[in-house]
Amino acid sequence: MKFYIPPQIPRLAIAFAIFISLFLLLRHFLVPDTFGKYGHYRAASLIDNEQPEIHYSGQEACFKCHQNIEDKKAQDVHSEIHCETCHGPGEKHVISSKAEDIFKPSGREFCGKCHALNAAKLKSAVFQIDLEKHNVGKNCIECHNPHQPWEMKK
Amino acid sequence: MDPHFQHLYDILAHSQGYIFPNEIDLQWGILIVVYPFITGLVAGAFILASLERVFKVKILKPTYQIALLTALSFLLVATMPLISHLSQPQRAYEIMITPHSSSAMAIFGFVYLWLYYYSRYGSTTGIVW
Amino acid sequence: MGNEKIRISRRKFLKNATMVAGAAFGYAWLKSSQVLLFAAEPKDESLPWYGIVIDIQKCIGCGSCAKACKNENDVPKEPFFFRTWIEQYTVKNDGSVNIVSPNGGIDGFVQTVPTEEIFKSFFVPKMCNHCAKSPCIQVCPVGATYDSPEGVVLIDEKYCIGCRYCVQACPYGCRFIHPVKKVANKCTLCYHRLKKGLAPACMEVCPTGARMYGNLRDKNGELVKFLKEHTTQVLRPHLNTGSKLYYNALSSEVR
Repeated sequence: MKFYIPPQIPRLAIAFAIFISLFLLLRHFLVPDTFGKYGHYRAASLIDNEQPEIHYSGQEACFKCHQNIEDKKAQDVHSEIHCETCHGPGEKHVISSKAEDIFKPSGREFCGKCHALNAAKLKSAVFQIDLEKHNVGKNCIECHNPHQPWEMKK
Repeated sequence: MDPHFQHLYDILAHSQGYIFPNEIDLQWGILIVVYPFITGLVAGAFILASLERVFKVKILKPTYQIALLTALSFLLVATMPLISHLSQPQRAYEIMITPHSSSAMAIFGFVYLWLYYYSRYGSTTGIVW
Repeated sequence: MGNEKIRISRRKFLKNATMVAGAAFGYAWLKSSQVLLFAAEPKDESLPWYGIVIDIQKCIGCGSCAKACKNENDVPKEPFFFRTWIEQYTVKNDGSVNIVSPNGGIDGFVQTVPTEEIFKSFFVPKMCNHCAKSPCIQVCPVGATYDSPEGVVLIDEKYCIGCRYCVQACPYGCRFIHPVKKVANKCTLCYHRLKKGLAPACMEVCPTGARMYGNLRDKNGELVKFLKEHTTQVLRPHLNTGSKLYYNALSSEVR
């Protein structure tokens, strides 16, 4: 049994073959080297994702210099809270040791982020006060030491 | 406030109920809508041309050439809205060289390549099937 | 007669053999140049397989995590770009649910519903679920987002074409297009910190320890211990995303 093959078909096949080989050749040069090493991605990108600088140093870095604060903090309810929760990113300060490179929070709003009364906060999770009734007009740190909140200053 | 994000602030001010913050910005906009419109034009014009040639509808003979040319010319620009919608259009070739087999978008790129090749050579050599 | 029969079948045999050999050759050629599939090698068992736990009962909505995340990862400060954010759910006595997330919770929350109308209220911190079968990886056309050997879903910023498919595929709304880098961006579980032996920024600063991360392979580890002792749930389990972010005390109102 013999099929009639129109003369266009071989021509088309040749054109396709040329096109596909060109594509494969181009592809050979364009695909990144490490692509497909671990899966359908560029393995070198794992290294790229490790590159960014850190901004938060972790509290071990803080305690290397501020041993006194660690001792103070350990005695009271804020012992579990890491330094950078309130003081913000510390890597710059760790490197420079300058006071202006670290954030020193103050004000009722800042403490209120955790301690303001809110129905969504469990009573057991955090001690809450009503900012509109509790010593209005005074800054929290006038009475409380944030490192040792129950050691009143007066 | 950065004026670049003004429209997002406007949407935020007018939205009722809750929407995930990352989803306030509409990601696929007018360009994505233009693309199927153009491919629709291509398909329609191509079918019109094929009516005359394949199905021998003689009354459509005057439209054959213009229909086929319309299909070809819109076909050439059909991907432009898609490519200009990419944030990194210079990397668009990656979708051809490393297509992810589970992604509908990557596989459709190959469908489009085939369609493009087929309609160009298919129409000039007179093969229509 | 018999001779001819054999000759025909021999020709047929040769023809078929050539076709099979050609197909095998073609397959081998395609496979070696990896045209169609990049088969993943088996996962390295020696590496950790990270999972996350968020304890809703411990979250007090202070916003430290969302703020720290923006500082650590240079996320734009506008309220449309978050790698992690906090939502406050308030179920009223009439059954309606009120959800708010002002600036992702970074500035803290103010109770908007009077206490006497509240049936219950709670905070839900949201972040990338680092799904094992994630929809965002599935739809990425070029392989610019992937599951790292540690089970962290990462983005290749040098390879992403910015098609925004993944942003729409994520059922948790955890992705966005970075307005400066012009590529997709998401939580990396602070991969750069994990590799240096530090905790992710959000977990470093959480004052109540509501967020935890750990190795799911380590059956005696803290995370697996927590999962054993508590009833946890993932978000949108019906989507079968293989989410590795487990919520303790998750309420059904959360979406």
